[in-house]
Amino acid sequence: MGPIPFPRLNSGIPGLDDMIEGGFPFPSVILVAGSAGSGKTTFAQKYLFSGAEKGEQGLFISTLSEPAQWMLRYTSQFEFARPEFYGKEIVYYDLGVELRKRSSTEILDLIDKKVAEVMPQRIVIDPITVVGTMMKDDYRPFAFDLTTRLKNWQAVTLLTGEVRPGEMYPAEISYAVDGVILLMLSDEGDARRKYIEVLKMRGTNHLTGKQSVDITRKDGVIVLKARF
Amino acid sequence: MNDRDIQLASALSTELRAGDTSLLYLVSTKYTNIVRVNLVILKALLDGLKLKGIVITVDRPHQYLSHLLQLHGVGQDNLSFIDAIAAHASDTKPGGAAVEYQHGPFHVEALPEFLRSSNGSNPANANFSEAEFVLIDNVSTMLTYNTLDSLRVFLIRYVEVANSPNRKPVTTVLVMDKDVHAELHRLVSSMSSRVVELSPEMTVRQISDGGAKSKSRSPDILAQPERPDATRDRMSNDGGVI
Repeated sequence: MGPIPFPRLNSGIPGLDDMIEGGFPFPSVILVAGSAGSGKTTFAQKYLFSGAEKGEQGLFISTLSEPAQWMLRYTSQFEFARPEFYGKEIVYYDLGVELRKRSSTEILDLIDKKVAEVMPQRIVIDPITVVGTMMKDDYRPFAFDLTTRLKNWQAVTLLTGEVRPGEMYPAEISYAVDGVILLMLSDEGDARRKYIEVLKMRGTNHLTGKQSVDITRKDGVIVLKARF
Repeated sequence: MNDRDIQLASALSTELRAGDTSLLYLVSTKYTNIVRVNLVILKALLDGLKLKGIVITVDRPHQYLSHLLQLHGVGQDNLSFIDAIAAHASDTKPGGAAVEYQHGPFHVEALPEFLRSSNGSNPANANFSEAEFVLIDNVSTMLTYNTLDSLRVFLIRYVEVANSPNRKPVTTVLVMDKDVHAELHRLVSSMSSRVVELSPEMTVRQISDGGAKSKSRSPDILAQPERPDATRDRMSNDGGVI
């Protein structure tokens, strides 16, 4: 008897699913890493909205970067963002305030409680890297426990990670996740181009190497030059 | 749980009611809905029908389902867990008591005998002899750790144990996605009393008789040798993409 293929969840990012055997393994935790302006939050929002279009429940956990009201205002400028999903198919939860005053165990319990309440198939934590800087406890055990629990809730979770100058991806979280997707900005002459690379996707024969991407109002992040 | 879930729990309460004989139900749903469907089924069995039962967890440690039930107000006084994955899960999530199945998720063919010996002799034990329902979370995951043939043997032995003389009828519910594990779905369907098909919107689309309408069906008939071309449980043509 051969291996049993994973069920997979569509990413909602045009061109990406063809690079990863049809979608993200279900359940799994995927790190989407990139520098400021590389499209991480747009990627994550499109992932949730594409699930909502199919009746899948989404949960967006904001850690600090900005209040949900501002993030939603900017997201509303994309054509894929349908306001009728807000608060229903896509639930927004602000964890930022709690991060400042709670222990890692309490943070895990809060996330557990929210996930059990909403029962999402798609979760986003944006950005996860802030959690490490805010946390008084050891971040690595927290990262391991968080990813274990998120998978056991039977969802595909995207963690967005801010990349520091000179860093490829946030190493302290990457060991615990099932997949790492890089969104990159590159200075090429007078132009600043955007790329995507699937660095790791467990259980998946994924395409390697950088692929060009664009960010459009219609679809958000799209893969331009995937060679299949 | 939303209104849709409550309505489904009510509909399932009517269908899953305890009968004079042990019945095996197959509930077909989209893979991404299995967690929610299991919750709704347990609400129907525990709150709606007031039955006493056991959940066997294979997919994830029992704490998650227990937490889910607690948060959604489903009583667990009449529920016991047999956890077949805890030893391999490295999970720190706190939770209530559960019996650990020593073989883990492997060797499911020995699980029916384990159930037969689970007689509640100590307080932490699940008492299979008194169980009015059994839910497995979930049968598809068993295929990750076992062959299709092992699962066939498990199901045959389980049906035998469930229909042992002098035990009360037990309603057994297996939830799975027919598009993801088509061969396993056919096997379970052939051994089920009833097949309940749910729509992606979590409504009952269809209820039909399964391959085994009653316990009178001989396990020998069910133990057909596997076709050479069916030894591997494959995903559907769409690749099982959800």
